[in-house]
This record gives sequence, C-alpha cells and structure tokens, in this order.
Amino acid sequence: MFKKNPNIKISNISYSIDGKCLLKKTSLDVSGNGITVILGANGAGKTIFLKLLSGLINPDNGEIKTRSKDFSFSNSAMVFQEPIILRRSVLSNILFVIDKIQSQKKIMASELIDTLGLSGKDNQSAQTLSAGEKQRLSLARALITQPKILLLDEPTANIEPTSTIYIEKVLERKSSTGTKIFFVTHDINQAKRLANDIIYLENGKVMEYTKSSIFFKNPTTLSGKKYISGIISDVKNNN
Amino acid sequence: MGQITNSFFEAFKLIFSFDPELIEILYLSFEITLIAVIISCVIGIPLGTVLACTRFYFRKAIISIFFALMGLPPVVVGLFVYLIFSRSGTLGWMGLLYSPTVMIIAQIILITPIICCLTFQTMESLHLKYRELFQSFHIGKVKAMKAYIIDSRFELITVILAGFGRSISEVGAIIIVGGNIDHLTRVMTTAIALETSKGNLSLAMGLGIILLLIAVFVNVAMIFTKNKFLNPSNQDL
Amino acid sequence: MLKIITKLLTLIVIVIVFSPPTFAKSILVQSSTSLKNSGFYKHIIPAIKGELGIDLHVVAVGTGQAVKNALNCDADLLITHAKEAELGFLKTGFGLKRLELMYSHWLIIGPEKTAKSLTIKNDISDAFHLIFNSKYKFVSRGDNSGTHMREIKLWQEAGLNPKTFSTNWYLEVGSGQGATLNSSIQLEAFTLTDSATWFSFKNKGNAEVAYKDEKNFNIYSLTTINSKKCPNVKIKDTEKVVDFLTSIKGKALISDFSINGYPVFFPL
Repeated sequence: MFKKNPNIKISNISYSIDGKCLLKKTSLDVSGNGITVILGANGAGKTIFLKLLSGLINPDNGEIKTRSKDFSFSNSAMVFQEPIILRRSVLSNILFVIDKIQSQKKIMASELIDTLGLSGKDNQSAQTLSAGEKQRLSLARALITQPKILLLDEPTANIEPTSTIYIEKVLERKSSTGTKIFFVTHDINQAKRLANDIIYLENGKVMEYTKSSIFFKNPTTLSGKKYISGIISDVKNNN
Repeated sequence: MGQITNSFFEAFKLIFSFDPELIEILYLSFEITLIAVIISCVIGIPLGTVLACTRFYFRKAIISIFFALMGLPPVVVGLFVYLIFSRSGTLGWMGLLYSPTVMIIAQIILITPIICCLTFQTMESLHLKYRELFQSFHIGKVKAMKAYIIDSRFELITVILAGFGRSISEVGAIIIVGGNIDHLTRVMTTAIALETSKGNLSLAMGLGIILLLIAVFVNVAMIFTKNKFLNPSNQDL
Repeated sequence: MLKIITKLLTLIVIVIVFSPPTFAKSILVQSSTSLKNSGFYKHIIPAIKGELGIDLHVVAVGTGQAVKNALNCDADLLITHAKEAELGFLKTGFGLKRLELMYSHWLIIGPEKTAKSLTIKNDISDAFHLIFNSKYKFVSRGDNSGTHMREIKLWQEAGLNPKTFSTNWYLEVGSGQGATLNSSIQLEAFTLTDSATWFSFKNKGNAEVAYKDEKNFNIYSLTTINSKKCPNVKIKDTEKVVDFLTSIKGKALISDFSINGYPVFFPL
C-alpha cells in the first residue's frame, strides 16, 4: 500500500469579479485521497472553485493549504472542458509540458499514448484527432507531469462513450495509486460511478461536502435534494 | 489604350532580352527587400508576440504607437533617415547615405510596425486560446512565445507576405535616401519613377508589369507552400 | 532543419549588410535633373571610369536641393546650372572653385496650336510678355531647381509677376523636370525647359518648341567643395574628374554626346 495523503485545508476563501461574488466565504477540510466530484447547477461556481484549487486564479481572501510539500497544488495538473491542443504531433503535445525532455519521459509518453488508446498516432498531427481523442491527449499531457493532484473540468462533456470510458478507467487507476482527483461534471451517473465524495455548490456557496453514497441516497440540504431529484425526474420523464 | 498595349510589349521585350540592366535592378530590388523583410521579422514577430502575451505598464501605449506607426508616410521616413545619415547628421560619420544599406534601414523602419502589428493580432487570438493552458502547466515565458510563433507559422506567412509586398513597392523613402544612383541604388520602383520623369511611359509601365508579375509569383508561391502543409482535415482556426 | 535555415539566412544578411558598398573609387555628384534625364551621365561615366578609374555616383535632385545637400557635406562635386545659386554657395565658404563647363539652350515648349505665335518673337522676354498678356497656361517647376530659378529671373527681367495669377493660368507644380513636362503637355500649357531634357523626352504628345533662346544660354558649371568645411570630401579624386572634364579630351567627350544625332551640350 502507499502512504495516505494528508487533508487539503481550505480556509475562508472567497472570490469576486467586478463586485459580483462568485464564491462565498468557504472553509473546507477535503480528503487528500480518492476522487472528489464537484456538482452543481450551471453558474453555481464549480469551475471557479476548481480554478481556485488549481491556482489558476487566486482567492480574494483566505488560502488553500496542504500539510505536506510533496503533496500540494504546485504539483498538480489540469484538464479543461475544451481540449486545448497545439499545432504539432501527438507526442510533441505531450512532451511540450516537460522542461527537460529525457529518454525516461519519452518512454513514459509512449506508455501514456498506449494507455489512452492513441497507439500508433505518436507522430500524427494532433489537429486531426477527434474530440474524444483530443481529450484523451489532454489527459496524457496532464499525467506526464506525474501530478499528485489532478483537476478535471467536465472533461467528458462533449465526447463519445469510447473516450469517456478510457478516461474514467485511467482516473480510477490513478486514484487507486494515490493521485487525488477533483472532477467537475454534470453527469450524475458519471459522478455515481467515480466519486468517493461530493462537493455540492449552489449560487457560489458550498452547500454540502459528503461521501458520495450518502449524498446520492439522502442529501442533507434541501438544495441538494432538489438537485438530485431534478435530475432524477428528468431521467424518469425521458423514459 | 495604345500606351498600355505598348507597355506589355516593352515588358516582354525586356524580359526576353535578359537586359543586363534590368537584371541588375531586379537583383538589387530583391536583395534590399529580402534583407529588410528578414530583419523586420526578426524584430517585429517577437515584439508583436511579447505585446500580445505579456502585461506590463506601458503596454497599451506601445501597442497604440505601433499601430499608428503603420501609417507612417514613406516620404517622411525617407526625410528623417536622410537627415540622420547626411554627413552633417548624427550618423553621418558612417558614410551610409546613398547606399543600399541606408535604403534597407529606411525600409526596416517602414515595415517593422506592419509586421509587429499583424503578428500582434494573430498572437492575441492565440493567446486567448492558450493562456490558461500555459498558465496551468507553468510554461515559461520564452517557451510560451516560441510555441505561439511555431503554432501560428501559417498565419505568419501571410504577415511576412504583407511585409514583402509593402517593401517591394516602396519608392518614396528609398528614392530620397538612396538617390536613385545608376548601378548602385536604383531599384525597380525608383527606375519606374525615373523613366516616367523621362517621359518613357511605356518602358516605365513595362517595368511595372514585371514588378507586378514578380510580386504575384512570390505571393502565389508562398500561399502554395502554406496550403501544401495544411491538409484540408488540418484546417484549424 | 529550421535552425540551419535560420543560421544560413543570418549569415547572408550579415555578409550583405556589412560588405562595403563599392570597392572602386568614386565621387558623389549632386546634379541637376536635366543632365541625368538626358542620358548625359550614361555617356560620360564609362569614359571617366575608363580614363581615371573613378566612378561617379550621381544624385539628381535639382539645383536648389543639390546646393543644400552640398551644404550638408553630402557631396564631392556639384554640377548645376544656376549661376546665382552657385555663387551664393561659394560665398558660404562651403564652395571652393566654380568652373563653367558647357552650355545648352533654354526652350519654351507649348501646344502646337499656339506655339508658333511665340516663335516669331525677338527676345525671350517678349515671349513671356505674350504668354502673360494672352493668359496662356504656363506650368512652373516651382521646385527651386536651376530651371525654376531661370524662369523666375526671366519673369523679373520682363517686369512681370505671374504669381498673382497662380492657379489661374500660372500653375506651380513643384515637380521635377519630367513630371513638369508630363503635366504641361497634358494641360496643353507652356513651360520652360532645357534642350537636353526636351530632346530626350519621350512623351512629347502634341507639344513642340515654341521659342529657343539664342541670346542667353543655359550654362552648366562644376563647383567643388571646401574640405575645410567638409572633411569627408574626396578632393583628389574630384579634382581629377574636374581636370578631365575641362581638358580637351573632356570637351571632346561632351561634344560627342548627342540626342537623336544632334549635339546638345557645347563645351566652354
């Protein structure tokens, strides 16, 4: 077994733009292990929350800390909703994020290409990949930095099932070997499949932080209940 | 209409006679344009990229200035450069007046703003696309800039062509600083000016047609190269 | 691959930019436009090169600007055709020596339908009077060139002030000789020019010589530059050229120059 990661301490962070508050003052003690899925309606602040975690944006107040230097957000990587790919080969895209390219990294890149089902496409122009393949490439690129924390913003929102499966499988494997994963999604079923715990946001406020099993059976807040039932009733109607 | 028909005849006569003076003038035109465009790109492309991708105090002012410089009247630039390199001017001691070198300098002043501003516009849209990605992976500024330039290599071809077109057609500045000296600083455009002033309108127009053909050829060649590397399935905007 | 191309290009640029403009000996001549446009320099430069091994780099800008350039020390030799300007230049101390070299003729050219009325005049002054009184369109160089200075002087000597009719029938184009002729011919106007320029001009249209001044000639002079004021002047080479042009060989070379078989420059 591996050493368990310490908790991530979020203390009094808030975020506003132009006077509009996008994330209300939040303090949270998040588990440093497993997959945390971030849920909420559109505009709830999920992406803002994720970006604050990753360090892409800085909170107006407060801080996000981990108790270990090794396990921290400076050693994290992010996958965006829209795959942002450079105009070069698949392999070159992956190696782009590495400072010093050694043979060891090249081997790792090849392995990642295989793991994510992009075998044989090393030297192919990345622009010719399908949306799903591009997103798989984005994940491979994130993984080559060997991050301790992985953040994903609706990575499978606009792609086909094959790629979704590849990505979910890799995430599960990574999580089981000690990588902390934060995952934003609108897909309840996906959340049920992957999540160990859930952060539920509404209107820029963290309403709930609970184990996944608890949240989906019986959310504590009314909002949470509404969110789940809203989705579930949608599913019922479609049937 | 007769004179225009004559011009085509003059053009053909010149081309097929391999007139040595014509070849000399063409060679000089290309030499000056090529060097001026290369140096302008070396300055303008990184500069445009930096302006698009970094933030610093006087950034917006500098961008406005460069866009304004695009509209520099060539004759004014010619005069300015002339005054500097005149024997009685600041850099007169270099003895560069009436030489191809000073013509290149005047061209660089005229073309660099164009290259810089067009690069800036290309890079701005790329920066919007790549900024978060580069930020999240802590990509260093220099590496980022290299990536921007490489990734916009096809758009930059168009930018370079714009610079080339501007340069090969330049006459106002270079006739002042170059002096249009026979066998030394006479290029296609200044030769056309001279022949016009001699009343040799057909010959002048003939030279103009040759210049036009060359400019078209260069543009077509570059765009052909660009498209060859851009497969249809590759078209990414 | 890209790196190799970049290095190669840089090398080419450096080599070309820093190679000296010319290896042969040369002097810088500021000149009036009539001598360049007529092909005079194309005629004498090869001979001078052959005889002395010295090349002439000729900048043809018109007398006024030629003198100004010389005052900026951007000249080794002036070849111009405006006596007052040349003497004035000597007075500034920048000019060293003035030598009258050769002459050609002043011409008034104009549209064929009215040109004949000037030809019968005895004096160029009378011709100017006729133009003034008939309000014939007249195009002036307006650019402080030797031709322009001569034109102004002629109006003054005739006691006339055409500027009061500026844009009416007196049009100041502020252009070089060629552009002025192009404009005059299109406008069917009269203008002053010199024989060398006119005979070599290829776009005459329906214009012709209205008056040829046989009394006062268009004199071209060589003016050298004072090296005390302009230390960069190539005195020795300039002097060689001046000596050659004023020698018997030089005079023969000048007389040899013809346009359509007719000599236009007469050595002094």
